[in-house]
Amino acid sequence: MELDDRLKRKIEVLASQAWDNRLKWPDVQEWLQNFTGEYYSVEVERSHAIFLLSQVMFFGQDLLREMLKSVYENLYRHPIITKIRQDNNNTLDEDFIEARFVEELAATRFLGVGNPSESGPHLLYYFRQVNDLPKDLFIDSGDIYTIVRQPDDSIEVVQAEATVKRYVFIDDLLGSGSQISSYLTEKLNEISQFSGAESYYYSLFATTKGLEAARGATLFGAHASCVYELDESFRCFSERSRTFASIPRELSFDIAKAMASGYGNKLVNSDRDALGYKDGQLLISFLHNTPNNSLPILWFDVPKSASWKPVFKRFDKKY
Amino acid sequence: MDANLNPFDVIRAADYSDAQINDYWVDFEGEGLLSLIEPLAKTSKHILGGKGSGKTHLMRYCSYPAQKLRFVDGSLDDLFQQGYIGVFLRANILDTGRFSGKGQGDEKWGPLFNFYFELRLVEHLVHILADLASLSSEIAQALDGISSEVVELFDIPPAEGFADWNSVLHHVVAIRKRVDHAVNNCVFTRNLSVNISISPGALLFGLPKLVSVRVAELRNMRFIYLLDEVENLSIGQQRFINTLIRHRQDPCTFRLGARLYGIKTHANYGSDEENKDGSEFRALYLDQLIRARSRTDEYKRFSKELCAKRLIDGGVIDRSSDLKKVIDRLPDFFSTFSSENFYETQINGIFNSASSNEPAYFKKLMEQLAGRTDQQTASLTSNEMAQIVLDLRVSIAPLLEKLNIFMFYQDWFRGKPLVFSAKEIRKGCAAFIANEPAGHRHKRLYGHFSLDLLAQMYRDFKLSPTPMYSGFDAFVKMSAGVPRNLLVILRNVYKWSSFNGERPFYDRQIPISTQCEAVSQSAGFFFDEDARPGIDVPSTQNAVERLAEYLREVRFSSKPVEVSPLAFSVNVSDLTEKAKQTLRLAENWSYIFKIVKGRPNANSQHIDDKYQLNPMLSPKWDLPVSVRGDVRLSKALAEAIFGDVSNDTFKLVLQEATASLKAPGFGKKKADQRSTGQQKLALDFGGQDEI
Repeated sequence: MELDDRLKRKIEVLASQAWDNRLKWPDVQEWLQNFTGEYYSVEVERSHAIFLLSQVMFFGQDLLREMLKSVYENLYRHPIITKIRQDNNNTLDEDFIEARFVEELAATRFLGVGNPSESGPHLLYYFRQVNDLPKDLFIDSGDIYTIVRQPDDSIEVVQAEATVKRYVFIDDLLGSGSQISSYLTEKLNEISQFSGAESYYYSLFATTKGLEAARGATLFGAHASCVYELDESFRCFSERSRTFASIPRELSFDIAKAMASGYGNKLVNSDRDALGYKDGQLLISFLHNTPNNSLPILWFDVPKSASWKPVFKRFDKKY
Repeated sequence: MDANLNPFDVIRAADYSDAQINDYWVDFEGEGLLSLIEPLAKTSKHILGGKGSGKTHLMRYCSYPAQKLRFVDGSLDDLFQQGYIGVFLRANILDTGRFSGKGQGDEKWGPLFNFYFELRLVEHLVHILADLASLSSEIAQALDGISSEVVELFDIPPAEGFADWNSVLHHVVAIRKRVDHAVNNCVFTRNLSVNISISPGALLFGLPKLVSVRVAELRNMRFIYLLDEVENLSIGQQRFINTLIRHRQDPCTFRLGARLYGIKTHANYGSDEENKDGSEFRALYLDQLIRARSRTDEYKRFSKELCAKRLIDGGVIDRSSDLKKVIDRLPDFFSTFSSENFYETQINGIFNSASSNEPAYFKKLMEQLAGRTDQQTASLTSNEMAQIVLDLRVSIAPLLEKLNIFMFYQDWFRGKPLVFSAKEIRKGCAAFIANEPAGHRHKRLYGHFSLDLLAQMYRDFKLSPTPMYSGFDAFVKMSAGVPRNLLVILRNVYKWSSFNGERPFYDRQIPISTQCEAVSQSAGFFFDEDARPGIDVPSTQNAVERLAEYLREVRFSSKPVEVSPLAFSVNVSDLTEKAKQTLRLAENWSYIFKIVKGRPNANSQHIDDKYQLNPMLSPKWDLPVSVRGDVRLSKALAEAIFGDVSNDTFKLVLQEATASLKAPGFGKKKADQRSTGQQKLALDFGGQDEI
């Protein structure tokens, strides 16, 4: 069977079995029209493009919900339960443990990372739903503290709810780590001033590099964790890339990389970001968005300025 | 309706609900499948067939849960009219593997399995009777009345007796569970102690007999034990069933469903005689019977109804639609190709899709002529060669060019002067186009070979897939009497059509390209995934691949000897045991079918066995779906295909077997060389003969 037929079959299986029927072949064909033979022949470029598409990991509704359960159960709840037991002579008294846990939960606030319209906060709705949590445990990051003018006219930052012990930030993907750094450094600094309050960061996905950044002393230290760590092998053109661990003999790593970075460069107009934000090189997409750390040839879509048709649309931020 | 829900997704009758068994039921008009199974006949039957031939559907249709759903307004009159009660059991639910090993000897497991098997069947029977009692107070009263007599059927009767029919049911379930418990725990306890409380057949035959005599409403009913997937039972276990069949008692009878190779023994306990077809049972080869009708309108109608019911049931077509109208409309949902004007539309498509409009077949012919490999071509001048090509050209109908070249190859093979032959062909072709008598040779050969030549054209232009497998009728032919194969194709058609964004079975026709993707995947599924797993699979699949390769060589040769080559004949008695076994396995797994009427061997009085490749596999090798001619396999070729022969040897034998079909040599060069070689050998006195 011809390579393109084999790849089409693979895309069909992925679309129906793993991608929630998100794509039909006409969508793929429309996307393939972007590859016009600027670097290699049209056929060669398109075969490589379908191959890259066939390596995309798409996380649909069911998977994301299961992962949000895991964030709550594995990253949040279990460590607290462990601590309660350790502090109480390794007790197995379920009622006691549960009662203490409820107290800890009541002293927790869950927050999204970024603007309320972005994907991090967007996940909180589902996080609350799948874990059956009361809505007063969720706040906007602007509600962590208030600014109070003192009688002497000075300004003081005051914790909005003095009983809160944990601020837990929930995110979908931790890429390079630069977003949390720019967005949260100041807030984390203020939280550290509140007596007995700690900050935590839990992400569904995190690159190894991003996780290292989040675990830095000025951010979350040991309190940053994720469900699915994307190590170097998830960077599709890295030396350890799993994408190219086994490829059809008709295809080439070099052609795929040259083509993806060539078109990518033209799209984002940046050498550094040609294969994804800060050279992310990911092949990943979510139901609610495609991160910019993924290859731009998958998601790039600026309707007014370009004729590029994305295959996994990204809902870009407008600053 | 959710477009992602494929109405053809469920293809195994074992996965149907009882309602679907009825909803999807389709039968032939006149002498239908039900009349083949003969529910009222006393003689037991073996219903044998390949995977997907409809055994399970047929048997479940006759089972009580499906019968019950067909009662009009819950009335039992329909059941009485049908005259039978079907007790269905799938052999694989018995988990027969449990009844062996665990430190226990076979002498224990045998009787225990037989006891358990009878209990499972009887449990179903007692359940069914309890259900009937819930529908009729007369039956309820009568069953309660005979409960106390059921005690007599047990060797170890329950101490408390039976107060009513429910207590019979509870007792049977309880002793069945005791066996389950003993068997399941035996691996830990190493102890297998079960009280076998009945003698073989005591309940299986005794209960229906008692019911028949004492329950007036059920007096004339036949009780059919429908045992499916019998191939999953061991020889010893089948032997017990054979014994029950041999000693069957009224009003009971058996229907056994099994694969073609599923009946492992006809032996039974307590008698040296084996059960015989026509005596103790009758074998019914379901797919053979349906295949015999597969070329008829009857089968087409059957297939269309099968498809239409799925579309309506799945909500793809409005549920209020008239079934007949949907059936009539069905073929229109599929684009297909037209033979009008020498397949003009298809040929235009070929030339439009190809990168070059220069027909490769003329280039090839020129090269063959220019090779000057024999006496006929040795003296040809360049002008003569160009003239030959010019004479064979028919630019208004390229398929006729292919026909002309084919005829030219025939003449070349026969030793005719080539320049003269090309001119004659040119005249004949003109006459054929003008529908004049002088075009008779063209007419005859076009009638036979047009589709093969069209297939060759697609190959000449390196275009795939070909449109040869498009249209509902082609699917019906490919299914070759196996309804499941048709459903597999339709499932893939629907899947690909949806994926291609086409809204199948809605307004527009499903394009040929989509259908081709579907049949190609269906062929692969049938070959790779649908095959029965086992150690013999690789060698059998290898043989089928070799056979298909040979048939393809014949079809795409310069001078095919047979029209639409899909069938082959072979003298099986000549073959080695290994080749015979592989041939048998290929037949058992429905990769090939035996054609009942063999072919007389021209060289002897013997009638060769005739087979055909399953047309489900045709798209995999660009082979036809209809059978017309059959090619004869020599012993050497048959051994190279089915025997224990290396790939290299097979290639050599294949090359030799097809050499006479290929220009420019037509095998003559080899033959000449061989005859020269033989002469040399006779005259050579050197080497070892020197003293």
